Amino acid sequence: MKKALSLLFIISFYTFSHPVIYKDGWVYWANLAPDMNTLRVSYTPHPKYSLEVNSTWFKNLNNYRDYTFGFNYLFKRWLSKDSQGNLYGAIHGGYYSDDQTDGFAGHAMLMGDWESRKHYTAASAMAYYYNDDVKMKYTARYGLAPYIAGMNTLQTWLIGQFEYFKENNKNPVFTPMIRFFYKNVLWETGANLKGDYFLTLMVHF
Amino acid sequence: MKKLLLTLLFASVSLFAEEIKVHVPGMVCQMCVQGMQKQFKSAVIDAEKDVSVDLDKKIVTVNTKEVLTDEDIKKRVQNAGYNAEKIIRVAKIETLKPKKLEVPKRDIKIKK
Repeated sequence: MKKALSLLFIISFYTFSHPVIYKDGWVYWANLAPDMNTLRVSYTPHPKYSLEVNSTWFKNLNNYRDYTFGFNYLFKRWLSKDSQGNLYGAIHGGYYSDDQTDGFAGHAMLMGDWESRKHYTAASAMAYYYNDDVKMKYTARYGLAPYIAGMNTLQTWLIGQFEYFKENNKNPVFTPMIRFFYKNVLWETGANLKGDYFLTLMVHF
Repeated sequence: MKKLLLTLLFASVSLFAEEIKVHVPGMVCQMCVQGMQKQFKSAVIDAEKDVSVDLDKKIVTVNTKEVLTDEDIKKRVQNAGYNAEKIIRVAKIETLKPKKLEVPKRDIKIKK
């Protein structure tokens, strides 16, 4: 139970960012919490896809640590006057080890989002594979901007996130969080009802 | 005289800059701003100053150091992840500001 919740929490961190950005764009991403961390670096050689290296450590899953290489793809972008929607897919593969086992680890993800300058929604389904086991996770987010930010001004989002994990469908986790976005720096912090807190920092160039 | 005319012609070409306004629907966040500045960086002198994004009107304004074709502009916007819907060109010639002539100070001694 604790492992399932923990795994849910860790995976949710790197689900919600734009996996593909603009051509030649680099993203450096770190998620930090007392019992986990995730580090990501991605490069977008073409506005339709990006390449990513990723490392995750999780203390409560027998010191689980993985190193994966991923391919992220933008299937479709819908652009309207004041909003945009995106549909992404991702496949990552690599190596994991914990206190007892090691071997291949893989992730597959399908994610969609829609955002205007006032509202933000996102949903994802993710398959997470390691140690001959597949875990499915579903996540949904809604964000509201308390004010409309212009170019080079601080953008603020109040976000609520719901997560549903196959192994834990009776106990979905709700996590309120706050996100700030200024120029090329994004940082996000929040805590779920259990008191698990986190800090996310993303910089893109 | 011919040389002077040629010199003036080349001087005016080298000073030529263009302001373009591109209507880009769907821009909603800071990531869009960063993307536009990155894609137009090679066409401007200073991307921070010369590329601005009006997220209300969905207009990207670029002060270029050279003339860009419509195809080039569309390609740059596509590389930022968007589509250029309308391109408006505001051609302008930057004028040279007159410089103050500084005469070096010299101590002049008058012999009596």
